[in-house]
Amino acid sequence: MEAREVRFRRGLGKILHAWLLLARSKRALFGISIIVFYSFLAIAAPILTPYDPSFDSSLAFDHAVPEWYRTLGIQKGLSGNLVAGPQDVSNFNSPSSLTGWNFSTSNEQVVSFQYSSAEGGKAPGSLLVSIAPRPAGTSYGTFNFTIQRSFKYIYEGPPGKFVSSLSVRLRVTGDEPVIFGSAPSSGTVVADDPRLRYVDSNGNNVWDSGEALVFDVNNNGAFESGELIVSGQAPAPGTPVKDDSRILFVDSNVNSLWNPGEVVIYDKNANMQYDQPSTPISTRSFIDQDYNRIRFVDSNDNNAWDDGEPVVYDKVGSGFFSSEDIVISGSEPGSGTTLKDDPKLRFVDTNNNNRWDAETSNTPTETVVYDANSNGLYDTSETVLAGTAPSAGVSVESAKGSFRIWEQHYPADGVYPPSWFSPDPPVDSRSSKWKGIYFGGESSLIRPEDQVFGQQVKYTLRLTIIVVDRDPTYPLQASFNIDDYSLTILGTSFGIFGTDQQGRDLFSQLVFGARVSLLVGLVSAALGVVIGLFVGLLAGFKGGVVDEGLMRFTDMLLVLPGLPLLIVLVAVLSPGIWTIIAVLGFLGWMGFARVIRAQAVSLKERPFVEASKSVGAGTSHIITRHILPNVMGLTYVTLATSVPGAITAEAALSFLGLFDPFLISWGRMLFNADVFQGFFLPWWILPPGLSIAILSLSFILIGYALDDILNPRLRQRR
Amino acid sequence: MGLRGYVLRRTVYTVVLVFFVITLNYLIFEVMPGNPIDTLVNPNRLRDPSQLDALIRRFQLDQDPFTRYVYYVKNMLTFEFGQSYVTGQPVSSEILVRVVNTLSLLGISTVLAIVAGMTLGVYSAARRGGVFDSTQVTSSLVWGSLPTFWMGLVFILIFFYYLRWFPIGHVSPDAWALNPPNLATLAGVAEYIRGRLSHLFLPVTVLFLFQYGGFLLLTRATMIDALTEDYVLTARAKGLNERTVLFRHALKNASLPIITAIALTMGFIFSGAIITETVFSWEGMGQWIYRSIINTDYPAMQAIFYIIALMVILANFISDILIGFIDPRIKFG
Repeated sequence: MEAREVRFRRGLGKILHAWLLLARSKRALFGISIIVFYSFLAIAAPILTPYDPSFDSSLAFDHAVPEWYRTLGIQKGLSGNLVAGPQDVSNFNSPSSLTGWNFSTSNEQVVSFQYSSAEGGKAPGSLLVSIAPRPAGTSYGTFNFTIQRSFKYIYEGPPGKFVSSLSVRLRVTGDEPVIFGSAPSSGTVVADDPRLRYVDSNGNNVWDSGEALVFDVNNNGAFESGELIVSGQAPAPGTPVKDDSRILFVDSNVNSLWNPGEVVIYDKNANMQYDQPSTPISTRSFIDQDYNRIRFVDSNDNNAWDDGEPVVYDKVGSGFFSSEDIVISGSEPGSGTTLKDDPKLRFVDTNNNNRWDAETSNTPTETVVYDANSNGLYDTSETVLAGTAPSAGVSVESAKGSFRIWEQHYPADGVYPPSWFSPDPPVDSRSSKWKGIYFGGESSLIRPEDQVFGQQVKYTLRLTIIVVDRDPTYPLQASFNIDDYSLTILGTSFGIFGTDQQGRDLFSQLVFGARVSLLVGLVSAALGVVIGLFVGLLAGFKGGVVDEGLMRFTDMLLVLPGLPLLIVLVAVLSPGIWTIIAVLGFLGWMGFARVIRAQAVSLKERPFVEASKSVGAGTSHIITRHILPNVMGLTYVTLATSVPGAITAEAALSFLGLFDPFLISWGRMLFNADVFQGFFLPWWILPPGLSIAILSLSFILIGYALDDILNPRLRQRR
Repeated sequence: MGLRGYVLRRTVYTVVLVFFVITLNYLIFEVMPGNPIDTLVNPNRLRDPSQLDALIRRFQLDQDPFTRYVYYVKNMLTFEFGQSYVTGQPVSSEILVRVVNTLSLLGISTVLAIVAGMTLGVYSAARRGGVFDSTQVTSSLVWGSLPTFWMGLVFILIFFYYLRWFPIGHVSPDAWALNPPNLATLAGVAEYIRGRLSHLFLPVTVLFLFQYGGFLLLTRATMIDALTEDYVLTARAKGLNERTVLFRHALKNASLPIITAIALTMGFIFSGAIITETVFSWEGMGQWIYRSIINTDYPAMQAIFYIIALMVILANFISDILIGFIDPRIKFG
């Protein structure tokens, strides 16, 4: 016990001593601090970054620029991420979440908006749009309702991509009920079996919802015990049961008879087929941009109106001149000419209707001026483009309007985008499932002149659902649940080092990449050193045939080309992190083995080994007690100096495409940069490359410092 | 044993090593999965089984392993490597196309690296511990630890993307594919040299920076040893000028490990620089080697491994002989 303690203390003292010696060298200190830094990155990676380096994609647009390029103003025209609506993806999950949204409808008597806590898309709670019950025989005709929210686009550049999604659930009651089984698809042909009979509790000679349905096997018009109850409560034996010709079934096995298990429906309109809810809807989603309708043709392309350039009123709001637009001054531009906005083009709103009167009259009289100093007032020196010059100091305004920058339609019976959100519909209800609606676009695919989110103005996200009440024969009762309605704008700048080709965070990749590099470097260097030590000691100590054989084998491996061999082995064994480590370790021991062999050959002739032999010490004792301690210094040095080789080799393999598919290493970051058009983005290629270089260098420096300390003879000479 | 005995011994050793490499090459590809028939034909779509038999006979796959080994050795010694699975061209002609590009790239960079590394190493050793020495050691360590592919990417970023000084990609301007310069005229020759050099510059620089540090450190280390020897003191005492002492006396005696290192490097020149050639889309051996491995083009891979090993063995043999001539101690050792 005591001896162990003494040994432990001595060991501790040795480590302390080595550390003090090492700390004396500036190079070693530099190396150690770098290694400590990267080890910290590797260990603390999950704390340093919230994102997963491989799987968290679309954090921003791909190839995003570092965010500080935007905040520090290094690069112009960048944008960041923006979420219109609550930051929480699942909105409408509390009554207060309805604030900020505007609800409107074309038929206020019928449509009402409220919060519903019962159901929701991704989380409980949704917006419930209920349509007042309508009796049979009347019709609501076509009406619509709209949900909208305004937000300001705060970035100076357009986004890379925008994505909007919502979940809609339509529930219609008052249509053909399913009495038994699950609803068949619309238009399914149904057959009659007179033995399907019901208990006419209210005596109206028509089946009503809730009345029991039985299968009158003996067709005698009364229920007996033993006969099958299809739906509802079992009646007392002897209860008379009636046939209703609208109670029909889906004849799955085509035998014209109802068999237990077959779906039974109530065919209200007696057309011998099952009909779906008869309320077609169409969903439209828009993004509108606040828009100055007084625009100009930018002949000299300087983005500002100059004297002589045609000014027009963009009545259509398309951004292009068309025959419906009105020329205010200058010559009429050709159809399709791009119209640009200059906020200084303003008008005097004489009739205070917030519109330039071209909206209401074909001969507009309101004055249009160029507010050169943009003070919102007419000054006498300013140009009058149309109408009579107002008196000085009259306020002038932009011709407000909105410009639809994006629109998406979902027709009534068209196919919705394919993603379905939970929850599944309750069993009894024939309401539709939650339909996931997803849309979006990439601004790069849109022409620059009608760039989505091209300006820092107010935008409106709007959802309009058009309901067509087509069949007045039956009463209608319908409601909509709407949830998770949001617009996500993926910016062109993100994080500390931007994003890669899939919108993944490059900083996370760098931080997690430290793990790969350190693991590969340390483990494969250790493996190589252990093999080298073993082979070298064996060859040197045994001598003879063993020595010759091992050394010739070593020579041969040294002659084989390193990198091609590495590539072949990794490619054949399929690249994984442990394959790479093993291959690097098994190909990295040869030089060290030769050095150790030379040392062992000379050490085994030394007097202390001979003395040990003469007292009968075994081979293992001599090796562990006499030879190993004498080569330990060399081993540490080799360990330190072979780490960088392994790190760069792993990086090189990854750069060539031989990487572990589940990990992102520094080499793979550079591979991605090279393959996916990132090689000209300095924030992408500099951090991983510099990290490889600095980490390798620090190990080399420590190796040199160790060499100085552990081989004092060399130190004296240097 | 005189010089003749030494040379004879090295020759025998070299020949044995060559046979060893051929055997190993044979064994590796014998063990590897797949055979040439799988690559050439889809057995499910082969109507006539006799065709398959014909192919098997053609590739000698019906012979016993030893007969095939003898056949293999004969083919290797006559540089008959068969046809590439990928292009269908003879492997030897594939090699010839690329070897010129690789030699121009690596030949230039290696020679420059050796000359610069040795010169700087000699002066570093002479000024040991000084500012020049520590700058040289540090910078060669830094250049040596930068990954070449990354250096390539950064050079492309700076000199191609930002400064537009040098073109990137391929060994010559793309426009030459349609109208090559007229080498009959002087202007054409100048244009040719200019085009080739501009494409060579970046990859050569990258390889040079990567390579020179090793020679510098090696030369410096051996020179430091040599400079402590008595004959250097004698030479200095004789009043010889410093350059003569360094290069004629010290370097000559310190040159043995350097010659070995140079020989090894020269041996590997042939295999090209896989990574640098990939970064710069340089149609050389390295790029071809990588593609052959990834496409599992066995004939090409066999040729590659054989030729590289042969070159390294040859280079080692030459260096051994050279050392034997330079150092009188060795031939009697």
